[in-house]
Amino acid sequence: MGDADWFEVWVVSTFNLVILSLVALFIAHTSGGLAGSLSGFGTVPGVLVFGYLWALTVASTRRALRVGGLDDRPEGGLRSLVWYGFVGGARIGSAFVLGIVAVFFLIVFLTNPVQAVTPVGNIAENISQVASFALIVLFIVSIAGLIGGVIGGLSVLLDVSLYGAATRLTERMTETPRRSNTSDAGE
Amino acid sequence: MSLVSSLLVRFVHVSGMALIFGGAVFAWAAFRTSESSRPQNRSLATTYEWVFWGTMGLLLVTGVGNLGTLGPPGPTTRWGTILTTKLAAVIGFVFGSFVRTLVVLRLRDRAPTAAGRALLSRSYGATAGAILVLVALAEVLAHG
Repeated sequence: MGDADWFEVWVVSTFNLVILSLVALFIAHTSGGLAGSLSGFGTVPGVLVFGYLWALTVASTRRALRVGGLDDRPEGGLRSLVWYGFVGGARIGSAFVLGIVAVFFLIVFLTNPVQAVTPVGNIAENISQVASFALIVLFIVSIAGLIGGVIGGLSVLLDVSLYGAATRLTERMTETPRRSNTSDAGE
Repeated sequence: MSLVSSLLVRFVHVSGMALIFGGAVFAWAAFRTSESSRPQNRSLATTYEWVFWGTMGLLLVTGVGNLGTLGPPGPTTRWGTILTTKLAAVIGFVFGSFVRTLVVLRLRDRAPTAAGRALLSRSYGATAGAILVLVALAEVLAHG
């Protein structure tokens, strides 16, 4: 397994993140839910959340493209590529939600340590609360992973179909004239 | 959002747009006038794509930041309809841009040809034209 092509990693990961965000924004706006979802969301938290998601997408795409990319597909072809997309998307979804929960918990801990760290006197009750919290987090992270996996698989299908369009365009525009244009032969 | 961060978000948004527009015009002119198969041509295309996608990420996050500052309009209002049109146009632009990037990905390892340069020149010309349309929509969105 070699290292991934950084150019391909960068353009594929950023395109997938940008198009997913734009489609989500479009759906939120046309359904009238954008005003509610943006209110109270500051600039700095917004930039940090987006930056975190961007970094996760780049890292996961790099890992997925190590076994082969759009130009040099892995063994198993499209099915294999979609599977790697599913796994990568699941990883992004789970890590994203886990990171948000961890940061949220950290903020609560730093601003109100008494609320975050429970008194020693109620150990049994606290263990039960922590177990419930952990189960809820595990459930949410699993759902996020499943949703991320589906999005990852669909993103790969979209990437492959657009790569097919680029291939047809390149062949139509460059290869046909090259056969009839001998002036390019020496280039 | 404070005045400083609001201005910073707008500055990054406008500068980013200017950067990808200027870069597309430069690449269009370079591929159109170049008659040689210099390796700098391929380097120019890949450099533009690196910068373009990084800038698109920044444009997206600052665009959402601008919406948050102004307060997103309802979808049925006039401003909301313009925003719907702009978002649809941006989605189309991003799809087209990715196809252009994949063309660069395919062509970068091949021996350059005049037809390849012509394809890249047209792609960057179309990118610059599309950005102008988006800027016009943004003007209408910002000033009515």
